Amino acid sequence: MSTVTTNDHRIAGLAWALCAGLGLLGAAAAAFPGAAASPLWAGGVGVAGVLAGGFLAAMVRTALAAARREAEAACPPPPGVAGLDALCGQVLPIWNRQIETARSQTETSLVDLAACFGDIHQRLDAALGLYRSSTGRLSDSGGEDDVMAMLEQGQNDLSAMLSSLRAGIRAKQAMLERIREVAGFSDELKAMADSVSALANQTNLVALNAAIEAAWVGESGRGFAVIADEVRKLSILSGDTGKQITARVDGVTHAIYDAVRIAEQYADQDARAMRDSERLIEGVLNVFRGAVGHLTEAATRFQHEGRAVQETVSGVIVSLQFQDRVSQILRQTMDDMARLENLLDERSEGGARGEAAAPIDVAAWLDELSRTYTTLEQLDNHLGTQSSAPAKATEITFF
Amino acid sequence: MAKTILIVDDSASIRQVVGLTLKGAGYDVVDAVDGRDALGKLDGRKLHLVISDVNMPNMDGISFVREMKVRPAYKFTPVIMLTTEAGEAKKRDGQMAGAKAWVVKPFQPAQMLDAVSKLIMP
Repeated sequence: MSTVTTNDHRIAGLAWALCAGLGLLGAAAAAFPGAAASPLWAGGVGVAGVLAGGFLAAMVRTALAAARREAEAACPPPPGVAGLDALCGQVLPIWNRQIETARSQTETSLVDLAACFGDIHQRLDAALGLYRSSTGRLSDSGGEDDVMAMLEQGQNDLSAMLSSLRAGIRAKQAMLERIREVAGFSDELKAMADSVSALANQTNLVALNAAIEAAWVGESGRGFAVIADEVRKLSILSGDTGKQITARVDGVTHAIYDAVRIAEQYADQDARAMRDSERLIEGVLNVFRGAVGHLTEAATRFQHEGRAVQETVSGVIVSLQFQDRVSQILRQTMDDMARLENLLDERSEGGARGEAAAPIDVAAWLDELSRTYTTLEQLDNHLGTQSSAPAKATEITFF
Repeated sequence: MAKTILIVDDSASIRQVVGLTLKGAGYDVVDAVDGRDALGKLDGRKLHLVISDVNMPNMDGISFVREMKVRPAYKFTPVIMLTTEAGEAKKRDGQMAGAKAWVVKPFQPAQMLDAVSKLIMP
């Protein structure tokens, strides 16, 4: 702190001016016409007065500074800065408004932000719900089992169809065997027809011999010759019939063997078609299984990602709540600033009325301030200790 | 039919996040900006639960719960106090007023829903 103030300079200036004035007055008196002193004397008096004034002023300044130092040592001046009250009276409302603006703008933005995250959360829920229903409840552990069961059912149905086809082929093969047996019967029929032809030839030969023997007998053998001739005609007819039967049997046998050959060709085609169908169905099922596998994997991944996003949004919901703590801390600070502003106003008005201002009870002020805190961070800040981080886990007390 | 929960908080962002959490779980939500506003919402409608802040302008949460509990229609409506206050004295005040649980902000949505499901009226 400077020991020589503006007032000291003023007092010293007055002392100097007084001495200088007296010197100049003395000089004027000496120079006055009729005075005994010479002009040189008068000038000397004036200069001496000015010099004495300067010396006296310096002495006064030194004495005042010393007196001030002693006074300050004996009784220190009250703390404070001149004009601080007025400054606070002006600046505190401004600070208050600035903080309120920042607080309200943050609050508004966070409300919008919360609405956006709420919208994301709801849309995600809706998307996941829709996905669950459209993929046959693939989302949960049983979903894949459902689809695999559906696949298995399809495979069983197709296997049943193939079994029916195999049964049809087996029936055809059985029929083919019966036809082959019929072909075997035709050979027997042909042999029987040959036997008929052979019997007819022999009968014809016997009838011929009988006719010869009848001719040897003469007129009495004429009737027997007629019979023998008729027998020979019948044997010829029997031989012809046997030949016709043989021809027919040959025709039928050829037809049956043709039918067997064609049926065997169809049976081969059926067997190939069956093998191709089995391979095709197995291939389709494998493709379907692969597609379901990919779909299930994608569904699982989608579910996983969806849950991760939901957890992130939950984290955001927790973080958004810190605005409330921040808002409370700012509001409490603003309230205390307003309290200080009111106090300054009251003291200013009291001063204007000439009332002596009582000293501010700082301890009482701080005590009242500490009673308005709602969070641990505020108390920590008040005490100047390390600030407590708000708990991440929810603190719940049930009564 | 969805159950209805009254949220009382002077912070719009808190009302928003609590409402978001509850609506996501299928509850209907009614909200009020302070205790006085909340008393105006006790108009005979069925409320299955109330979640209230403590420090609010016009009427604080403890006073609101006291007022609510003298109304026969809401005497047995469970109340969860949701606040930044963690002091034991305040908790006792809440308990004496009739609250069933005291939740310190910030809350985890899952834990809040767990507390709600434990206390909400059938």
